Amino acid sequence: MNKPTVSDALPGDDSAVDMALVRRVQRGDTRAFDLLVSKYQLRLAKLVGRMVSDRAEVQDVVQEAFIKAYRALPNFRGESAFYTWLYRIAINASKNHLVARSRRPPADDVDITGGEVEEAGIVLSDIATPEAYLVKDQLKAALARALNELPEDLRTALTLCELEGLSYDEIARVLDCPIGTVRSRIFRARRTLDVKLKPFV
Amino acid sequence: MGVLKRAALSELIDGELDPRGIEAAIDALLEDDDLASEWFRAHQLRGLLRDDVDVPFDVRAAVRDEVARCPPSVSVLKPRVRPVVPWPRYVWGGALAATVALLVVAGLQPWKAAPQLPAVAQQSPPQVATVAVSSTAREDAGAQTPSAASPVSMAPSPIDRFGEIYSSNELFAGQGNEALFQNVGVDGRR
Repeated sequence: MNKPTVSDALPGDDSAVDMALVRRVQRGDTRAFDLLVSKYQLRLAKLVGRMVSDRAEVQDVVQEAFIKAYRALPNFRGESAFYTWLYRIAINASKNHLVARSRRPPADDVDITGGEVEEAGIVLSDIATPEAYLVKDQLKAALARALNELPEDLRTALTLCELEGLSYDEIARVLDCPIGTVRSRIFRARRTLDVKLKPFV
Repeated sequence: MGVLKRAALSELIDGELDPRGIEAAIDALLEDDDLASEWFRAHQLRGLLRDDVDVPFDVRAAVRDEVARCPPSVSVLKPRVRPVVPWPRYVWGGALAATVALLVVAGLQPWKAAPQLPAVAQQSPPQVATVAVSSTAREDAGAQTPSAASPVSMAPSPIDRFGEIYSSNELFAGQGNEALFQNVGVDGRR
């Protein structure tokens, strides 16, 4: 089980977007919170998956963390980044979950097949069905295919943005092209992937 | 759905919009379900690319249900304002405090008026209340008579009137009550 690192709490440079969404939620727009859940649920799942092995439990803990965050959001003043704050809530929810689980009767605590945790994140546990494995395989294959089919310039721009976390300005300097070109390439690459992977997601 | 909106969405995902652009893009996201779905898929793809999870992972529906069932308490949404106490409560509190203080002071008065009690108990005339009793000899306290004491001017003050009220009370009217006050001198002397 890996210890969570501080880098997990760094959301990149889009904290202004988070704060704008948080303000909407604080004004009573729950749809804005839905967008925050969409944005951060996978990252939280990865984080929680390092402490909680069972995938179903990971789902429960992530859900609980979001609900706690929602209830506490009226008091969030933006003194730290939203994700840093959410990160702390998820860590505490995981710890509470582990403590609560240790108090359960042993019969509930025994995991015969066991959930598996990998360094990169959570993987399918014993609760995964054959259909889930199929979806996973199909999705991975579709993603690899879609990426390979992208034109070189689009793939490079998207890779620098998504995997390396570079800003548009930095990508423009790396690729020695106008920032508008970077915007366009990333948008087109993302759009192409969305169309091809939509049936799987 | 316009290309411009999609382009703005892509920039919103990457945090590349200025504050005004962010607000406009969020407005569009909240108004357009298709755009919101695209936002969701874009983050799923980002998670897959970054290897956050192996399979689609979605707790939105469960969170949405729970959020709808248990909204945040109204109290935390409202600014914390110190409650204003209505002025009659202040007046009532002050009056109560004054009354208690007055009763405490008045409660001490029977101790001062102790030597007068026998006279009151004997239905003696009002002038008895204006006579001070010498308290030099404790043993003589019960034998003292009004004539043996030096007359002292004791014009009744409001507090003394409380003393009279108390001295006319049954509690102090009995003959045996003098013993209660035998250790107490008049004018603070023993």
